[in-house]
Amino acid sequence: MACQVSAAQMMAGSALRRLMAEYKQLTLNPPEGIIAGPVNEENFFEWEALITGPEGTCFEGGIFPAKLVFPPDYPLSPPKMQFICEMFHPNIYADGRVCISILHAPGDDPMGYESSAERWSPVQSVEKILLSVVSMLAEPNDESGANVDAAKMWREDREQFNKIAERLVRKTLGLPPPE
Amino acid sequence: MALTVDKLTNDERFSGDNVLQFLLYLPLGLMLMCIRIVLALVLWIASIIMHDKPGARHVLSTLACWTFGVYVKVKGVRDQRCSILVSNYVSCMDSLAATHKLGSISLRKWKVPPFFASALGIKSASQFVRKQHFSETPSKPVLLQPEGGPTNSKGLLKFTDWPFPIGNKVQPVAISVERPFTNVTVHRALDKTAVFPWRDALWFLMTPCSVYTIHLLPSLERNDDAFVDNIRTAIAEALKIETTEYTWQQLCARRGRVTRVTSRPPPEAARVKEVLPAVPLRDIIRELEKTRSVDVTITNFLEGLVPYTPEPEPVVEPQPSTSQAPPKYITPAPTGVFPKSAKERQMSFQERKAQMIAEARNRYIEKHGLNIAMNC
Repeated sequence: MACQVSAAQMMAGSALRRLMAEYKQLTLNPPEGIIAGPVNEENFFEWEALITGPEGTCFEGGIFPAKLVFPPDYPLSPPKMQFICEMFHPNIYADGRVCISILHAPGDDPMGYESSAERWSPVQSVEKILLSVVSMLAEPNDESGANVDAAKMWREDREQFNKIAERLVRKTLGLPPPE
Repeated sequence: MALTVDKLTNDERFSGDNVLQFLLYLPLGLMLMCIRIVLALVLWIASIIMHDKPGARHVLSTLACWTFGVYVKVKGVRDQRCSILVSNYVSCMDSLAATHKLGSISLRKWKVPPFFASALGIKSASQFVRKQHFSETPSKPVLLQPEGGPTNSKGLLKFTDWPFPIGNKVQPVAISVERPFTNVTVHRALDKTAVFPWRDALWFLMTPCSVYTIHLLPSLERNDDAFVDNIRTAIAEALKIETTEYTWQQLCARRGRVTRVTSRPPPEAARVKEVLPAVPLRDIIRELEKTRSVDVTITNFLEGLVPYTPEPEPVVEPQPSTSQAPPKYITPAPTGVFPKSAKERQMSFQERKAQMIAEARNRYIEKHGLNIAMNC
């Protein structure tokens, strides 16, 4: 029993070190339009990230806050990511959870729908997740419908989708919705 | 007495009483082998003729049992509600014994001719799709042997080799094997899991008979995290052996054979590599030899105390981007410093967040010509 506890602690220890290394990297050398770090360093396993809506897309200009929760065995298992602002996107659930392949461990998908190359593995990183999320905002994948309504609107009524996106962008910046 | 890794496999193929007996038996054995090879040919022809005929499976597995001199005794009752059987691993013919009596299939990484695979009741692990299997042949249980490789049944290895997540109900099976009259090891520790152990099979052809005992244990249901341990304990108790902390990889590594096949790094190095994927493995191993500690090694690399050339990381493109020019983003002003104290770091992070939002806001107002900038 004691052995198990120490194994778990050791695991959390290496998770902490790795997270600290990534935090340092992200602070000193941030990718464009992204910042991320622990909300409160007393709990290094919960991070907040701000993601800028990619230019030339309907989410342009918005600053979207998201929460990342890391498991104790990170980086063996992927973190969970959830937007904490209102979102309307084919690959984001109504509660803000993000559905992209990099956040799934290779064993998670019994259907073999996602190729394991783009899945989570310890060589991935917070930075790569966040960059994937930026690409996801720019180019939704309407085949995996985390939000079916959004996927349908993205396909069939792009104008309406863009309107909703603009409202969300303004909301993240604390600006009133367009008239 | 502590069970060490090297006691879990037999080095000597023939550990009989004396060599003379073996030599006396040899002509008989070779004759037996010739007859069995003829039987194997019959099996081959039969499998071509009877391909996919109802009832063929039993005939073929019986023929295969004769060929390899496999005799199977079954104890216990098969629980029809369980489609997954989990057992220990004793030889390359486990799957044959099980398919003969239980109609199960086993997943293997071996590449063998299809007729041979169907006679032995094995399926290629890489081609196995769980859903497809159970929708096409729901009555065929799958036998899993998660030890990963055969042992001499003096101890049960750690379970590692799970081809898919097992359900909530499995039936544990304890397999034991003995060879009357002769004392020949039924398996050899393999260094290649992807190759059928032909040498083991030849010994099967030479020995008069191998008696398998398949002991079906009461099925187990998942009710806590210790499910896998419970299965392991049940099998070990039925075999009256102990569970060990060794894995199949360790067993192979101890025999000094596995390095050339998988070149698996030592577990400590693997742990450092998980945390620092960019550091080359040979640097990690060198540093570990010096420090003898995973944590110290990680710290030394992180703090830059030990120089290394970063490995190019496998490129994982998030998504193929189309012909568009790369999108531009608002860059938060990089501070260029990473404060030492947690408090300062947190402050800096908060500041940068606020700054990023404020900048984005101003930019948006400017771009869209809004006249609410004065309000704040």
